[in-house]
Amino acid sequence: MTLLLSFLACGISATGLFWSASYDPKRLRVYGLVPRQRSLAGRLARSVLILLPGIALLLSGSASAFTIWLGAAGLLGWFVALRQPKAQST
Amino acid sequence: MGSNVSTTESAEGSVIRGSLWARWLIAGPLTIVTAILVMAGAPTWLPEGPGGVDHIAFPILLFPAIWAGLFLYALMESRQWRSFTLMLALCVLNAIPVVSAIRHMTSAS
Amino acid sequence: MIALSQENTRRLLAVHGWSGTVFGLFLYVVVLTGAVAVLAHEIGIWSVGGEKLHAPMERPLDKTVRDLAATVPEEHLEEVSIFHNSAADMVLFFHTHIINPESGNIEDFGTLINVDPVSNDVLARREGFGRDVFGVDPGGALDEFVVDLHVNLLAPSPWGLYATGILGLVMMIAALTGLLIHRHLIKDAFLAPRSGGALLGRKDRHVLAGTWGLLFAFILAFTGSFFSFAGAIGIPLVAVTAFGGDQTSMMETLVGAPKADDPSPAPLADLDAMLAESASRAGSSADFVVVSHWGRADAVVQLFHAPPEGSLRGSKLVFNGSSGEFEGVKQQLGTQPSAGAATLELVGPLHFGNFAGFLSKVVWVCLGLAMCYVTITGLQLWLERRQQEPFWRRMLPTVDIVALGTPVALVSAAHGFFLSYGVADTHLWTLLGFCGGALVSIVLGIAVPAAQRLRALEATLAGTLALLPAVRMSMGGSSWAEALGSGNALVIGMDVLMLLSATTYAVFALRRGSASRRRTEMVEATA
Repeated sequence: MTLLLSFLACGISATGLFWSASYDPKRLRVYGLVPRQRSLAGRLARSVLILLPGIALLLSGSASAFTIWLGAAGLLGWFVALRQPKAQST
Repeated sequence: MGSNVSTTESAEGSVIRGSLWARWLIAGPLTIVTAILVMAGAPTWLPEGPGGVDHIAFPILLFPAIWAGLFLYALMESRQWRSFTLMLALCVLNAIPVVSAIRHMTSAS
Repeated sequence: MIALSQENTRRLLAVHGWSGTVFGLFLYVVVLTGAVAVLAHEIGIWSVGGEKLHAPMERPLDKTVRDLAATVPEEHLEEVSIFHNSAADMVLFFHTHIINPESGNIEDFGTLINVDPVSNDVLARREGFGRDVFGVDPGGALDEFVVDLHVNLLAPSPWGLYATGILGLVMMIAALTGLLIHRHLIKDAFLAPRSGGALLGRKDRHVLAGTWGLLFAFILAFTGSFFSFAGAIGIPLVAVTAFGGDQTSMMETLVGAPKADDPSPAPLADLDAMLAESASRAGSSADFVVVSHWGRADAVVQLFHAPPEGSLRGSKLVFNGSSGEFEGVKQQLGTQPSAGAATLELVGPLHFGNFAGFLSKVVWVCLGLAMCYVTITGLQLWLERRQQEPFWRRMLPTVDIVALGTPVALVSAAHGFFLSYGVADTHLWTLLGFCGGALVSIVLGIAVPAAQRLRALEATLAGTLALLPAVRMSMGGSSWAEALGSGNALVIGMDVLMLLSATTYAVFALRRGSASRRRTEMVEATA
């Protein structure tokens, strides 16, 4: 169960992280790409996607899945940000 | 914060900012001694909690955080006399129960 | 993000850089061995070729323990510890507590017996003080070495422990000052390393890994320094002020009032029944059992359990030894649940990452390796910025040597272990292997020209890693077919991990080779 919950939570957060990275203005600007139009709703949706799995795990009382998610989310964020933007968006 | 620095740098200069070695002494040995004494003295002023052990568990548990907090404070406080006085006060206040406990122990034995 | 005066930023940056530079290499060794030590249990099983039996505490063991109890001196029945080593051999330590004339302290003294979990044959029997009879088990040499290196840096006790504790504090300060000096933590969180100059890219890499690893760097450093200082300084000092030297009151508060002494003889209740009941109550089978006052009416059996599914905290259950009745769940500290005890119980799982089996361990290993990356890129950044100064220029090879030499030495320690397992003193040869690997790396790092240094070290690491499974099997370790047959897929997994790591480093070395060749060709073409 812990395994399943952690994977699910990390998957959802990873999607949010990827999405955030593809809209991140500084990331795009530094690589000479045109920043995309960002709406408040989109920003909110991305933040929710990243953080919601953690909050849900915490509220559901699955301490071990939450702690795994917390550690893995940091690693996922790092990996997502390490990729150079040219490869993922135009 | 910014205006603070400009006054210290222009007017009273090194008197208020203090010297490098004083900061080393406060952030180094004094911080370590203060952190150890705060940990040792904390059981006398921390609440015991319902289980009767919180006053013992938390000082030991938080020792690294006590040290780090004091260290960063000593590093960033622009008026060194303030950080020095605060640390000294913490030392003295926490040393009182420690010294009295040791005296009690030695007189008992 | 955080408003700081220029002067404070400068000061914090100086502390961040200098503490990292002075302690960075030691910190790297401690963090890297820590990341490896997360898998200490798995390394132990792999090093002895697999477990003879899975979940050994779930099989009946009452009769074996009872039979052996009849063979030891009566005073050794004061306390009996029961657990299993990496090979799943049952380890029984029947002991009493007496003053060791060598140390002047009260220590465990008794009979240690290793028992085969399948045949129940006695494999080894030793008598002596705890420190003499433990730690001579040849099968435990490799995992114990890794843990000892992480905890003590091979320095004598307690100095090694203090040293690693101080390194924990340094790591904590590096994380906190890093957070304070990095003004755009969130704005730069997705900033991919820029390619405009090696220094800029290096800085981006360091900052990016540091940003995402910040929380865990703090947690691992905090819990690590707690482990170093709590036992040696914290508990004795706090005990003085809280109890004024009153041992009885201290024990009553921390452990609970002891059971009334009743030395009248009474047989021990069925251990297997207690183990089964304890497992069903705790949600996991016990991994450590302590029986106090064996054969007396006041006997107590304590069973230690790993965290059950979904939880971070393990538990300790207590049974009445003569009646076999369940007496309650014991707190790690105090006699009833409290915030202090609950928080204290979280320190271990958060530091070791051992609360949810293999998954949490894998995440913890990756977090540890990420910390290694931050440490090394930070050091390289500091040195490359100072390449005009001869002293710092001379230091650059040291970083390369330590960065790749430490894993080479660790892998060589494993070679030392496998080559001596069953033939010579594994404890000595594991240490010699480590020293040999370190020496080879140092010599390579100095002798090979700067342009080829990293490549040579990476190739060495790839080579030593690739040879490990072959050396393990050639020295009588179980083959993949045998491991699979006995349900020890872990052994194969560890071998594959070594081969995959070897391939990764071989690719690094090859790429570095072709990159430097291209550079040379370009220089020649321009000339």
